[in-house]
Amino acid sequence: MKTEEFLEQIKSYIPADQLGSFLSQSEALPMPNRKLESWKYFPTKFLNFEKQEQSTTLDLAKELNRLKAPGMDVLVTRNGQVQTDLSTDKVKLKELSASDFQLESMETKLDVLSVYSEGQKLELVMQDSKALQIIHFIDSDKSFFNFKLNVDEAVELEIYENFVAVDKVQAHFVSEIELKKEAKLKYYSQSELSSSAQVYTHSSIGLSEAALYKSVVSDTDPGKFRRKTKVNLNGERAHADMKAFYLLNEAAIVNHKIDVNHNVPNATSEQLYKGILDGESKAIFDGMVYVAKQAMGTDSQQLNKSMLFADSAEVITRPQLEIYADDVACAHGATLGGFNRDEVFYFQSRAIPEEVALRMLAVGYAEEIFQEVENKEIHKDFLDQFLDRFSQYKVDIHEL
Amino acid sequence: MLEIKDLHASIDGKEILKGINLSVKPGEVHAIMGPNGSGKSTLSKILAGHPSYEVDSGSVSYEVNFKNEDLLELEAHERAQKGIFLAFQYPIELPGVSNFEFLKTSFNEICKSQGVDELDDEAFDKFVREKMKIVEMRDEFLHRPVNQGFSGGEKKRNEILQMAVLNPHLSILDETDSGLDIDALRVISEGVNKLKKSSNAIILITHYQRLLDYIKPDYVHVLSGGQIIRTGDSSLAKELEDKGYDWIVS
Repeated sequence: MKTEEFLEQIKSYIPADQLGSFLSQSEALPMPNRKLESWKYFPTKFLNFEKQEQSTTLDLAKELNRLKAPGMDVLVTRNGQVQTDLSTDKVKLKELSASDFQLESMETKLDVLSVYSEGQKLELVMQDSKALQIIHFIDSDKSFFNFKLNVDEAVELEIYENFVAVDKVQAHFVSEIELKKEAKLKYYSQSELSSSAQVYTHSSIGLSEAALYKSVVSDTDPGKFRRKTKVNLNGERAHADMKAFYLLNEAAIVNHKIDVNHNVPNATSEQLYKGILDGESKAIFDGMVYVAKQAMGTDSQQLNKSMLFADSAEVITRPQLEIYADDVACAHGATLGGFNRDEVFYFQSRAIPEEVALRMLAVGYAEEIFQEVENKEIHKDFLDQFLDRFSQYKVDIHEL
Repeated sequence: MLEIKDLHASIDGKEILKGINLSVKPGEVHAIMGPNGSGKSTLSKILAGHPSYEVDSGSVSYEVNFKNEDLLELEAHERAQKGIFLAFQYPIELPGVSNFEFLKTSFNEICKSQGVDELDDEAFDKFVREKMKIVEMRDEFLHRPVNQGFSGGEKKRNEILQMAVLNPHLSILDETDSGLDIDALRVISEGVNKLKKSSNAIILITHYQRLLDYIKPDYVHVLSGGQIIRTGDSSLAKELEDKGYDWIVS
């Protein structure tokens, strides 16, 4: 899309009094397009801001009942607006303005659009809540939602973020999370997107000394999801542990764009992203670990593994390291394959038919990620959703 | 129970077995020894039905429940359901698949094939814990991924645990003694002996006499160049231990 066309289209999503600020703030920023390294592999043709008719409406009460994780407070949004009647009141919501977000680190006009849009901009003040489920329902043409969260010193928090979107919608989310000294955040996320739904998240997580960020993400749907995650390790002994699984069929696309920045010495990070692809689906793992000159003692692991069930499916994997420090231990890699014949034979030699063996192997493949979910109810959600979707897949030993 | 006649087999176009003849009756223990590359593991994989191996000619007849089956016509899992068990020389690791789930599924597939009620988690848990005592296996191994992070000895114990759970008619133990220390060898051998019955048979593939000190074979066969070149009693194994294979292999 041309810049002029984009600017014309997005006007209707920005309040009149914010338009000037948006234009000046985004003036120097590029449009998302294939010339940009970070958008090179995601088809930007989907990023169209023309108004579209939307006829499917979600039954929120019913959906909430289905998705609600026991024992967690809940914050419900619908098309970028918090639904207070469906949310618990433990979490205080503080209104923010666009300038409260890290505008200087935003990379494209699209990142800036969300915070200047009509979507809410909130700080989530957790008060005494230690476990929060954020459920985003998307059933309107275009929507935006932005939040910030500070996790105070030595506080342990669990966030479970769900995205549910119907066809022909496009939603953008910006989130900024700061973990203070020794704070711990366990972040889980799962999506259910209809085939033509698009969701774009732009998450930024900052970690102070000895802080821990652990994330497990599961996308098992046929929609289009671009998850951009930037992790800044700003304190020594901070640790980011990021795991994700994708199960993709038909024309689904999942794009993990990850930047892990080791800005100080002795911080550690780990990424393990795995998935299974069938049909015409596409997975893009675009991960960068940046180690600054002063970040001695960094230990970072990065691995992307995918299994292809069809020749028509596509994986683009870019595990990248950019290291300026001398004394570091960094590893990165990627694998692509199908089922292993010897593994299948091992099952068969124990009386288990090939079809059952392949399904057990696939579950085991996913479970390597899901087992990282410490909350049993959420783990069950992840596994159940995977099993439900995977039961519709045809499995055989697909030799590449 | 098992009748192998003039079996020729190959992998990737290379002939490995060049006319094997072997007869195994219920209650018998057969040891198959031989130099590296003689075809011992190939024979075990062909009997278990590994799809990478091609049977070029010959027959394998397997009698179970008073019925003769053409073993080569059966899929690998069907052979296992009918009581063929292969303990792997190098047991496979299965990340993400728990030992409990693997054993339970395996056991229940056999129950299903035999028209017997399957066991639920609770009943199988009780059942498998009894079997674990046979190989002195600790409970913690039950819920770990199959063979992942297991030592060599633990993997071999796990193989014999599977044998105990599945209660096969014909067990083929492919170098189950390799990589074991003396204590583990004793425990595993005692486990196998506890599972020996007059109605089942065991084929032991080994390089060493030491395993046969614990599990007494009725017959010892020497496999070389894809053929059984000599058969004798347990004294043959002792002779091989003393003299090596040179005197027997032309």
